[in-house]
Parts: sequence; C-alpha cells; structure tokens
Amino acid sequence: MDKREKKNLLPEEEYLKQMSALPKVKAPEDFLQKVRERIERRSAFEKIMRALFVPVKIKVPLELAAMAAAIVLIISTVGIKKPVEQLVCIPQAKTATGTGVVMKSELSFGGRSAGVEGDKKEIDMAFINKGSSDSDLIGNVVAQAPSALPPPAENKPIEIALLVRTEELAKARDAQKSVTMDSYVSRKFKDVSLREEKAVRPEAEMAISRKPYLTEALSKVRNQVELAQGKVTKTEVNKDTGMPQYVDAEIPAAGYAKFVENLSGIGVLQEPLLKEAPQGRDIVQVRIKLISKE
Amino acid sequence: MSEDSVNFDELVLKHKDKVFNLCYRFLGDHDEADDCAQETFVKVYRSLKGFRFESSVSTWIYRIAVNTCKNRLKSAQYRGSRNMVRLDEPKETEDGERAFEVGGRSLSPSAELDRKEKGELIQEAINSLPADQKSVVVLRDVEGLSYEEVSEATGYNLGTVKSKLARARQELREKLKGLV
Repeated sequence: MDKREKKNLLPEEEYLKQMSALPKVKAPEDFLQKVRERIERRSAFEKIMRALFVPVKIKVPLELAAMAAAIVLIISTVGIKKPVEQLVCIPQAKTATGTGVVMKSELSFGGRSAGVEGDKKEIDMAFINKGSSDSDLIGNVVAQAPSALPPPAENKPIEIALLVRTEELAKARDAQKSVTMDSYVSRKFKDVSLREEKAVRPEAEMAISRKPYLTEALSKVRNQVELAQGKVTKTEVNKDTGMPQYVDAEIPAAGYAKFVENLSGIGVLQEPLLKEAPQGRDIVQVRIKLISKE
Repeated sequence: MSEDSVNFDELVLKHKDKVFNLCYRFLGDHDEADDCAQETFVKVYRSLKGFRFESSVSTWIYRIAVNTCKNRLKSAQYRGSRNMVRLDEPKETEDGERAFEVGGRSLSPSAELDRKEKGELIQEAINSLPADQKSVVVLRDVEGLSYEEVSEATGYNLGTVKSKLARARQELREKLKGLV
C-alpha cells in the first residue's frame, strides 16, 4: 500500500477507537422467555413427528426372534412342499368330486358295502380331507374319532381299516416321482388345475401304480395272521382295478391284541379300533380293509 | 425445573447480550438479530450434551452464533433479492401504470437523519463486508476477542484470521474516511 492510498484511509487508531466505541446492543428483557418458548414449541413438534414417524422401540428377545424365524421357515417349507403332496393325492381325488359319497364307490370293495357303514364313515372322514397332507389327514382322524369301539355282534367280524404307510408308498414310488414332478411343474406353469390333472391320468393307471404296494401290504397282513396262529378266510379284490382291498381272517382271541399291535407296523390303523378281543370268544373274526392313500 | 434447565437459563442470561450484539452487528437489523440470537441459544440447548469442553463455552456459543448469522445472511440475501425491485425496471401494474417499489429499508426523513449518525454509518460499512470478513471484524474489533478466540469461533486458522482482518479493516477504513 503506497502513501497516497494510505492518505485515503481512516487512520487505524481512529478506526479502532470508533469500532470499540460502538454502542453495545442489549438483548430484550424477555429474551430468555422467548428462547424457552421456542425450545418448548420445537420439542412439542418433534414429539409429534417422532410419534408419527418413529416406530415404538420394543426389545425383542433373541429366543422369540429365533422362534419367529423358525416358524416362518417351517411355514414357507410346508408351503413349497404342499403342491407336490397335492399332486401325489391327485389319483385318489380323481374319483372323488370333493365329497365322501363318491369316495364310497371307490372304497366299496367290489360293490360290497353291507355291514361296513361305520368304517365307511371313518374312511370318508379321512378322504374328505384329500387336499391336506398325510400327517394332517391321519391327525384329523385320530383327533376326531373316539378311542374305544364297542364289540361287534356275535356273528359280525371286527372291522379294521389299515392305511398303508404313505412313506413306504413314497419310497416305492421314487422311480415315478421325478417324472411326476416334471409333469407337475410344467402343468403348474401352464396353469392347469388339479382337476384337469385327474382327467389326464386314467383310473387304470392309478390302480396299477398302487397295486404293488397293496399286494405287499396284503402279504404282510397274511404273515401277521399266521404269526397270530390264525388263518385268512377270504381276500377280496377290486374287480375294476384288481387291487387287494379286503382281508377276512380268524384270529385266536388270545393273540388278537398282539396281532393288532403288529398290524400297526404295516400301516396306520384307523381309529376307533377294538384293541382287545371281545370277552367270551375263542376265535375272533376280523375284516381288514387295505387302504392306500395315493 | 430440572438442574439442566437451570444451568441453561444461567448460560443464556450470561451470554445473551454478547450474542445479541454479535448478531446485530453481523446482520444490521434488530429483529433479525433477535430471531438469530434466539435460534443460537436453541441450538446451544440442543447440542449442550454433546459439548466436549475442548474450547471455552463462550467461544463455542460465538461459533454457533456466527454460523447461524451466516446462514441467516444467505437466506436474507435471497429473500432480499426477491423482494427488491430495480428502480430502473419498474413493474407494470394492472392499470398499466408503472409502480416503483423500494425494498424493505425505506426510511423516514428523521430515521434517515438517525441513520446518518456515526454508529449507523459504521454499521452500514460493516454490512457491506463479505460474511467471512464481517465475522472476523465483529469478533475482533467490536467484541474484542483475541486472535485465538476468533480463530476458534470462526473455524479459520490464525493466519487466515489475520489476513481477513487486514483486508476487512482496510475496506472499512476506506469507507469510513471522511464520514466519522
């Protein structure tokens, strides 16, 4: 800065004097009150905003979170698995139109239906739920049925319904399963309903697919009869499908309980079930229905 | 009333005049200064728990005040530029007449006389400075803070404070030459 420029400036001492001599402006008397009001107004606004947009913080225990996650996982797994099971049930549903009445025709054992009303109801009850999974089906039957059954009349056989174990069926059907899955997936994408699926598979084909397992079950039942030192008096076969469906046998009363117990190793015994031999009989006549759930 | 609020009230009472004066010198308007000083203490209240006592409380409050004033100045300039109408480009009214409008600070003759007073002249000169120079000049030459305190309050390093102060002083001395 040259001298000429300096001459155009206010002297520094004067400048500093003037600046420091500037009057001090004081805050209004109610300044503190205004600040307080402003803080409270703002905090009230913030409270409202927080209440509106910030969710309430809840401490979720780790165990609860894990349980919830497990439930979600199970539900999603079942949800994925269920369509496949429905497909497995398709042949069974084929003859049924959703009511137990139609099912009766399939389970009428070659047109014979006399004296098995109780069992029909039982089976109907099981198959009305055709859309549910196996475990659901069995669970429902067990839960709904009374646990004790009155002994039959002197000349009537004891009715036993044997649902051949589905896992055994499934194991045996492994070879067919991949083909079935492929067809299911392709149909799913084509939005073909299960009812249409039923129409696609002829009844004879379904019967053929179930026949070996029922035959195997029949063989096992025969073995159990022999073990119980009884004898098979008659075996009924479905005329249309050729599947074994009914086994009549005579079992010594002393071995009846053990026989029933051993039958449960072959499949699921439908309740209600007479587990002990009726008193006053030496020989117990039994009538075993073989049911395959496919 | 909680202990915190009692302490805060004491803090406000202790520093309110200095903060208000700083805001007034910075903004050159009483109402704006009032509003800005209040805003400063609201900010102080909200960030009091986070204050780490690395600097003195007064310097910390000054820093908040300076930043609040700078922000206000930006928005005030924005508002001012919207409210002002150039006299050489008057607005057309509905009657087709040309209306000449003058922005906010039209003063009465008596006020104009007051404004001519020394203090006002100096304030006007301060108002004309850029914000960064203004903050340095107000803190150092009006409030009497040390260079270090100015440095802390403004966030500039010491050398920057000195250079900005030198430029600001030269400009003010130039403007005030012959007026005070």
